[in-house]
Amino acid sequence: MRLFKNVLKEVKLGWRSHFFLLTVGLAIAYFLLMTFLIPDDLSTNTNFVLLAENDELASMLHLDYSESQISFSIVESRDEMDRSMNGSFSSIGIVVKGSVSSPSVEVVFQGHEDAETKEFIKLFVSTFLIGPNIEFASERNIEYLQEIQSAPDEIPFNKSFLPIFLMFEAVMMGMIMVFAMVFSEKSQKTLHAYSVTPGKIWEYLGAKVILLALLGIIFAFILTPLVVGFEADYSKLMIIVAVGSFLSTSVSLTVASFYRNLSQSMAAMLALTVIFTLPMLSYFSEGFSPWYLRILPTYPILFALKGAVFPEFSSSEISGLILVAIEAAAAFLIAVTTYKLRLRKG
Amino acid sequence: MIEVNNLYYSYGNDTEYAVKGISFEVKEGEVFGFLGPNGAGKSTTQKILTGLLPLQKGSARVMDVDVSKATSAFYNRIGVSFENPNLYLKLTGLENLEYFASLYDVPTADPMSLLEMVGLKDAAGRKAGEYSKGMQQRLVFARSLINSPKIWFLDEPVSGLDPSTSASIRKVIKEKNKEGTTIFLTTHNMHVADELCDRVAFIVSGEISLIDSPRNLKLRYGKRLVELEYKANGSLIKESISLTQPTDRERLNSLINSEVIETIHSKEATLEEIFIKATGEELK
Repeated sequence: MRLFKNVLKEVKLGWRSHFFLLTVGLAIAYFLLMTFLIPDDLSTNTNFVLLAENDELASMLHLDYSESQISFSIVESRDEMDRSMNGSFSSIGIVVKGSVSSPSVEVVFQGHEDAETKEFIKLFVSTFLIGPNIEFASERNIEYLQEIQSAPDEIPFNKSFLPIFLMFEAVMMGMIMVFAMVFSEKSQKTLHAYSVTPGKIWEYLGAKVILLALLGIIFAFILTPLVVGFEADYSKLMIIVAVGSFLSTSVSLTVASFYRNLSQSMAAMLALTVIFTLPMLSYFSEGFSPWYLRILPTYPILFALKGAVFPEFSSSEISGLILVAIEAAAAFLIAVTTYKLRLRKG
Repeated sequence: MIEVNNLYYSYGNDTEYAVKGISFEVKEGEVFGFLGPNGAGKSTTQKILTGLLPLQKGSARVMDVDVSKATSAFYNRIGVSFENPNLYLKLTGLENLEYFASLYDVPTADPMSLLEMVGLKDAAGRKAGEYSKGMQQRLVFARSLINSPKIWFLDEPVSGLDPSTSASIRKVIKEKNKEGTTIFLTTHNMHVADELCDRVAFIVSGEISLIDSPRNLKLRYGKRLVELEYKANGSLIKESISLTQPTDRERLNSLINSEVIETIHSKEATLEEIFIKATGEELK
């Protein structure tokens, strides 16, 4: 009952501090960011613009490119090539000259290509002049050292940020808001007034954990449907956000108790944010997941979020959250003990 | 109700004691004043008695409970009014009281009646952050009564209040004491202590130098004088006359009989004068 009354008080204070408005606003802002500012495809595939100087040579260009990942376009004139290349910043022109028996090639670069790209193109053109070995390039002759997913990872680049934003705001929203709440209450000394009542510290802090989990869930349940519609696993998403929020709020409560104001705590808050967001490196570079990233509690949270919002592209490793939940409970106990001790120091 | 024996407290956990071996006792139904200048150790003692500071050395029992082992039952029976308003500024006056009322396991007072009692009924729906400092202080005072405490700790309850509000707060304190509440009053305002307290303790630099009733202290430290003004030869004359010297008593009688006296006042010592005399310290 007292916990409920504490939650009610925190909700009122959160509402009047515009935390709910901020949450909704951020969710919409992130949606707009993902929709209008981050492209859905960031790949810089080079487009080859091919031109043959005579009809005989033109037959050389009409090969089967169906298995190739490279984009080609064949033009009829030099002017058309210039127009095509001006419209595509990543295109490279190849002009085939001479005769079929003795072809020569002129490569037209944009000018910004690096030396490695230029060398690669030269090698490619040489291979082309010898004749492309389609058999070699076939998928059947390619061996992968790591087992590839049966369904290819086709998450659009902009939507791939969703788990990151969910972790950053929904899970770690607690961190910044807790610091703001704790320092506001420190200046008002309301915890002293609470301490001379029968209210328990765990109820007092627990109410903050619940408020921030609630804000995190609201954020996730606004942003996720806007980005992926109803494809996400919302029950799992709610559990992940709640557990993640429980952890980050508890850790933040403990850290905030050691400082008097926001400016004093800024370094600690930033350090905590950087540490907790490090698993993003593994997220964007899946091959990079050293032990020091995997032991961070936000690592399983981030990948569980990915599994929950993109169930068709990633398995949802929700079992890893059990350890996070235990860590969160331990962090909460530490927070309660720290508050009791620090409160009785005056 | 309160028993303190050889109590010490150091904020740095060293020998720089803010409270140095104080002992006193507060009886049930008594208003006990803890008087001293700023930094004397008054608030530190009150914080130890209410469990806000740990018990380091000595013993302190409130309602027969060792304050270092205070439980919910203990907090259900005490009320604490802080000197500095510590309120939820974004909650209204009424919401502040309703929230704190919800924390107790015992029947609580009606928040609106408490607001009415301290003159905040009309401001009940306004956020505490919009209150003046005096209004906030009255709200803290009202909050400390929410659980109808058996022991009421008051820290400078009328500090910074206008005379009329101060009078109404003092009236509430007297009424609650009449109803049987034991009051531990921490103040540096000797007039308030004189008016409200059954007994007072003077504390300076963490040590208690005197404990007695204001009346006994006045008798012990004061001079028995009357100060009067009378007309003689067309001019106003001021004179202090001893009530213990036979010659002075005769002179006083003759002045009374001659009907020339315009004003007459007994001149007992104030608590402030006694404090300065007993401790050698000014009240700041």
